[in-house]
Amino acid sequence: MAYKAYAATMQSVWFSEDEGTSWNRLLTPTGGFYNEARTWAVATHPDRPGEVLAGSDQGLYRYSEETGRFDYIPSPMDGLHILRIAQSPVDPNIIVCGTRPAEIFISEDNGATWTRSNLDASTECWFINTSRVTSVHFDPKDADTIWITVEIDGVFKSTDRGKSWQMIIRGLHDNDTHDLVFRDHEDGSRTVLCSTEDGVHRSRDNGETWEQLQIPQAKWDYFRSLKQPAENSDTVIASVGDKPSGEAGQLLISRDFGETWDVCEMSHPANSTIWSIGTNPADTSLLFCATIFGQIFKSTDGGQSWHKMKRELGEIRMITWAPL
Amino acid sequence: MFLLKPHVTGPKGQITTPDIVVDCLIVDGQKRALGLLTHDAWQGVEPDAKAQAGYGVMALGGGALILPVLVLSNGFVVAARCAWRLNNLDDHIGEVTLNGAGLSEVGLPSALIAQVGAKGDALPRGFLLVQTSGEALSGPVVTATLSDPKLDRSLTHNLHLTSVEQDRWGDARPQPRYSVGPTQKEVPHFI
Repeated sequence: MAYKAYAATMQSVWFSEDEGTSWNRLLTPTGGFYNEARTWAVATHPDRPGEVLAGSDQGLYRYSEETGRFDYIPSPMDGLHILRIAQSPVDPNIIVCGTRPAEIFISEDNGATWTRSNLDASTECWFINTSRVTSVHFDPKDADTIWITVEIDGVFKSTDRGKSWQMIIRGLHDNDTHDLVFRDHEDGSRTVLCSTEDGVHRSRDNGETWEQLQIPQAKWDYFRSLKQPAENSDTVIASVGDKPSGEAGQLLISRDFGETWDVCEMSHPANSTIWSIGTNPADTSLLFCATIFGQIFKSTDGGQSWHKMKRELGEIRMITWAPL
Repeated sequence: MFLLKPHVTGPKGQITTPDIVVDCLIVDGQKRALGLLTHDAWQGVEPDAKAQAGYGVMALGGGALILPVLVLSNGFVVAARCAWRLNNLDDHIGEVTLNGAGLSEVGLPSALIAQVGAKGDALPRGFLLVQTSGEALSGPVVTATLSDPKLDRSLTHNLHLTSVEQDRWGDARPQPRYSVGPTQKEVPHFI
C-alpha cells in the first residue's frame, strides 16, 4: 500500500514518501506554506486521500496531492495557534479546530465558513499562561457529540456539535488533560481513557466520573498521546515522558483497554516525551510516533516494537500517515 | 477577535504573559469596533490628532487585569503590553492614579463593570472595558501612567505619534529594485 507520512513541526509540515526513511518539506516559494511556520496539527481523512489539513501560527492550510501545494483557508483563527484539527468520520466537510487560547472553531462546509463555539474554557493557566486545546474527538457513535481536552482545564463534551459544552472533570486527579480514546462494548457500555499529567484516567459512565489507573510499568506520570491502532479496539498505545518537554520517554501498550499494560520495545531511548502517535485504520500494524525533540520511531507490528528512524526533525508536535 | 498580550505583574510581583481573547471593546460606555484595538505603540496620525489617557479592565482567570490605554481621536484604542493583576478589584483601587488623577475621579472599575450590566465578579469574559480621563494629550509621545502608591509601583504606556505626512525616506526614497514596483518589461522572477 502506497502511503505518505506527515509530521507537523516547528518548521512546517514534513512529508515522507519512503516509509519514514527520508523526509522533505515543500519549498516556501512554490509550496504555498512558509516552511518555518510553527505547525502543531496535521489531519487526514479516509474519504479525502492525498489531502492534508495543517494547523499553524500562520492559519489553516490544506495540502492536496493533486496540486502538490498548500492553499490557505481563510478563518477567524488567523493570529491564534491552531493546535488540533478533527474531521467528522461521517463527513469530512465538518471540521473542528482547537486553538491556543482555548477556543473551538467549527466549519460544516469544508472550511468555507466558520463558527466560533461557545466554549467556556479557562482564560488563563498559571503553568502555561494561556490554556490550549490538546485534543479534539468526534464521538464514535454520535455524530453531533464532540469531546475535547484542554490543558489545563479538563475534559469538555458537547452533544450539540459545539453549541454548548459540559465540563466533565469529576474524579480527575489533574485537569492537565491531553488525549482520549473510546471503547464501545458489545453490551452497550462504554469505557473512555484520558491521558493527563498525572497518569491515565478511566471513565465507565461516558465521562461523568473518572478514576485514575494504576500503571506500575510507567516510569513517569506524564502521559501524553493515546491511540488505538484499530477503531474501537481493546488495544491502546500510550506515550509517557518524564515531563514536558522532558529528557526521556517510553511507550506502553494495553491489549485490554487499560486494564493491564506492557512496556513497548524501543530500539533506542527516547530523547524526550513522546508527544504524538500516528495511526491509520487502513493498516493497524503500521504506526509512527515522534518525540517532541525530533526523533521518529516506526512500528510494523501494531505497536509492540518500535524502530528509530535515522532522520530526525527538530521539534515535532504531531505525526501521522495516510494511504495515497 | 483581538489577542491582548500583556506582561502581567501580580500583587506579589509574579509575572505571567497570557494571550487573552478580546471580543467586545467598550470605551467610555460605548461599543467600538474591535478593528480599532491595537497594541501598536507607533501610530501614524493626522497632524491635529489628540489622544486621551485611559485604563482598561478585563476579567482573567480568577481575577481582573488593569492596564493603561491611550485612545486616539481617530478612534484607535492602543492598549499597553503591560498590566497588573488584581485579585480584588475593590482593594485600594481608589488610591491608584492615572496620570496623577485618582481613579475615583476618573471613574472606578466597578462603575465600568456596572455599565455593561455586570457587577462584582461577573465581568463577562472577552470584554475589555476602557475608561478615559477626558484630558487631551498631543505631541510626538503621549503617555498613560497608572501609579499605585500603596504597592509603590507604576505602569507606563508610551504611544509614539508620527504624522502620516512624514515620509521615513524623506528626499532619499529609493527607486524600485528588481521586480519591486511597476515595470514595463519582462522581469525574471528571482526563483
